[in-house]
Amino acid sequence: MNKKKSGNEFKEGAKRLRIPTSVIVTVFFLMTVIVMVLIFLNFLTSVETPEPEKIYDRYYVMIGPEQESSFWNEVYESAHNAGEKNNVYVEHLGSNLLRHYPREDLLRIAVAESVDGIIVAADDTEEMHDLISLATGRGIPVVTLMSDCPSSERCSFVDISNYNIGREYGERIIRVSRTKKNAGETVKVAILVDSHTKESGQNVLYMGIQETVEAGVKNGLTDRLIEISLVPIDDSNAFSSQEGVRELVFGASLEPDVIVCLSEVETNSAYQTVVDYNRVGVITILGYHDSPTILNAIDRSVIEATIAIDTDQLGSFCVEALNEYIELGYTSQYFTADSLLIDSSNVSEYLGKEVPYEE
Amino acid sequence: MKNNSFFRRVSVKNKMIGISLLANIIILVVNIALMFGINNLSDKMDMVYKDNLFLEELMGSVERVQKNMTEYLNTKNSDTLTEYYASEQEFRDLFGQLDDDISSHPFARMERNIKRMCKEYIDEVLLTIEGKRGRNVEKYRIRYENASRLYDYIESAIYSLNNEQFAENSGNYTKLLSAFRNFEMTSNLVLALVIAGNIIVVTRLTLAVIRPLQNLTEKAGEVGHGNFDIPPLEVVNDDEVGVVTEAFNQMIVSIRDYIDRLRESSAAERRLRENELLMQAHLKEAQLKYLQAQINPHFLFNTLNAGAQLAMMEGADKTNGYIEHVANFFRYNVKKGSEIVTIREEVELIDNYIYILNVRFSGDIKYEKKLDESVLDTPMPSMILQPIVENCVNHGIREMMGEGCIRLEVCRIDDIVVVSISDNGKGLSEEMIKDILNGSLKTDPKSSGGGIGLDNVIARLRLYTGESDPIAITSEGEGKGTRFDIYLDV
Repeated sequence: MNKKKSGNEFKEGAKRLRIPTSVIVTVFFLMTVIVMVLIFLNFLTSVETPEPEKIYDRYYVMIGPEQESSFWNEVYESAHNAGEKNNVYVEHLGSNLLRHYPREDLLRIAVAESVDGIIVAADDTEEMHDLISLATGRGIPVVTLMSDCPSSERCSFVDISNYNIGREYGERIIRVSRTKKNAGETVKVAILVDSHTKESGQNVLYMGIQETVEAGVKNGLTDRLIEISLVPIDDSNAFSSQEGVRELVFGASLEPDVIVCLSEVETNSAYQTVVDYNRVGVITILGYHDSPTILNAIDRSVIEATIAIDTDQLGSFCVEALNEYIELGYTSQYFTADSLLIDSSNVSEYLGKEVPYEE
Repeated sequence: MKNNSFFRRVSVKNKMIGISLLANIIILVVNIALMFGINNLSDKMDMVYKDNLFLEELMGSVERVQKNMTEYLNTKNSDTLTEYYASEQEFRDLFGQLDDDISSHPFARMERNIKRMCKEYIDEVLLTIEGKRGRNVEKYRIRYENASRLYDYIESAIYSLNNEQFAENSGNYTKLLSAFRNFEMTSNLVLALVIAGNIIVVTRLTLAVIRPLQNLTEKAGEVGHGNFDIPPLEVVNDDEVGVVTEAFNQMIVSIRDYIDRLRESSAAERRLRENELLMQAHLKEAQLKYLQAQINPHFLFNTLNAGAQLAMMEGADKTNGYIEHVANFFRYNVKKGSEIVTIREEVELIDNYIYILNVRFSGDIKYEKKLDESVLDTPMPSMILQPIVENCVNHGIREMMGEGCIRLEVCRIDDIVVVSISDNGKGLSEEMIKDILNGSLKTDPKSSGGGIGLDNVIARLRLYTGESDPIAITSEGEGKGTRFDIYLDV
């Protein structure tokens, strides 16, 4: 009797619980709609929509030296960012071409592309001179960067204060010389210079070093004799620089105690050579630029010190010069970017962050 | 709720059409959506390498221009010049389609550069051709060098752009392909889901339509097996099945009513037949008793008639009258023993009976009657009043002292005819009256002289009238007489 009753109650309950067909139909319909919306969302997200296109007013190109480095990349980045603020697109010319062209060809390409402005790491050759004339003849202003072509019709030259940097290097050479050899002996300093360029910047820098060292010796800041020699290094390709430095270190002729590098590529080459041939502590390296590799090397006392150059300033000065020239018809002939000496005493401040520059 | 009531109202035909339409439309819509997605994807896939094809075309075009120019410079052939112009036009048309904006998109920017270089190149080529036609050897030689250098740059730029675009397009193609695969999988899943859902919905809806029909079939089966005691079916929908269900319910009720009525009437008939049989049994009993009592009435009639003739011949009129009365009395008994008679005939029998008794007992019994003539033809069973009168004479009057009196009265009260027989004899006690009415007081056949007993009279009256109390017996007490009232329908 009880069983029967409970069975009946269960049936009644089941009856009450029965979901109306209309509800099922509605739920099913909604489910279908939701699934279809999901499909479309999935479909739309799976096929990327291109970024919105931005159209620029002007188009500048930057032509770096033969050998690219992080220093030049930073300069390009800063020029690009500076251009972005003024609705100018700054292109690192040649970077998107599969074939590698020399600077001169890139200049010709820039002219053929009828760009609005050219930033070039020039040299003082006749061909460069002619090409700059070709560009300016087409109404394309040219700014030289880091290395100049003084006789050309370039509108401006953006550089660092090479003489000041020379002085910094000179002071550091005097300080380092006191730890080398014995009093009265000759400390050999090799300044690695680019064998290709006849640019004035390196001369100014060398002058700065030489004057400072001579004054230091004269004033008795060191009791060693200091012999400075310019060593031309071919850095036109990735291997020649390394080979040149190796030749310098093991070459019987010079055996330098101090190596002064005037480019990032040379600094890296010197650093690698000194480590590879176990000359750490024997040969002191004065480097150039503040790439993470170089900063780490300073931290590990492989490199004595380096000159950090404000790449932001370099880049923005170039864009500024071109803008001014296009808008006003004239601009400052010479822009100088800031630099800073980094050694083991302050390297920890710059490891992993951007270097603040002082005038 | 609204949906439900709507669903209830729709006819079965429309419901079935609606269900199949709904299922098919859902699948159709989902399919269209999936097909749309697939078409869109395949369109995009077709577009992927379009740019590459265009660049190939441009490359071919610039190559033709360079080749024709070189050939013309070599041969100064007018056919080559014509070919050159054709290729130049084609080249201009093609590079004219290139983007010319300084765009943030690298490909668009490269297109702009290529376009500018192409323009520069074609101008240089024209100058070269002009130099050749003007036979200015030095001029066209330099121009040719410039043009060739530009051609080299353009080739390199197109090659680079093509390469980068191809790399990106390949990436896009891979993405599209995987999107396509995903889409395929998702769509299969969705289709499976939709089909499963459709099956559920169609099953539910079909069951909702069919269930009342199934219930109906089940109940109809029960009814077919003779079980009419089923609760009425619930009418779920107002469709054809609902109408049939309602009709079915009504049919069940009607059949049940009909069966009840049939059963009642057969019961009544059976009762009637039982009554009849009982009545006949009583009659047979009465007749038997009568025949036992009147062994040879014919012989008696003849004897009595002979006696009456003899008395007439002798001039004994009283004797003649007496014998005639006796003969009439017995003739009635013989003739009417089994019939329905009128009150008048019964009263005449009483007259004869009292006359005979008064002759027998020397006029001891006083006989009074008061008759309503209008009801004397009312039918009644025979041999009812005489046994009562006989009872009154035998038990009431004979045992008393003084003059006995029998009083017969027939009157009508409303629709009932009352026949009253009363005496002034010794009367009956309440118990005896009860016993007589119950039939438990059996009349002694010997003492009653072989006549019909009161129990038989009462039983026959009950059977005839169909009432339980067709006769009332009252007695006011010892020595105050007895009164019998018989109630008959008019």
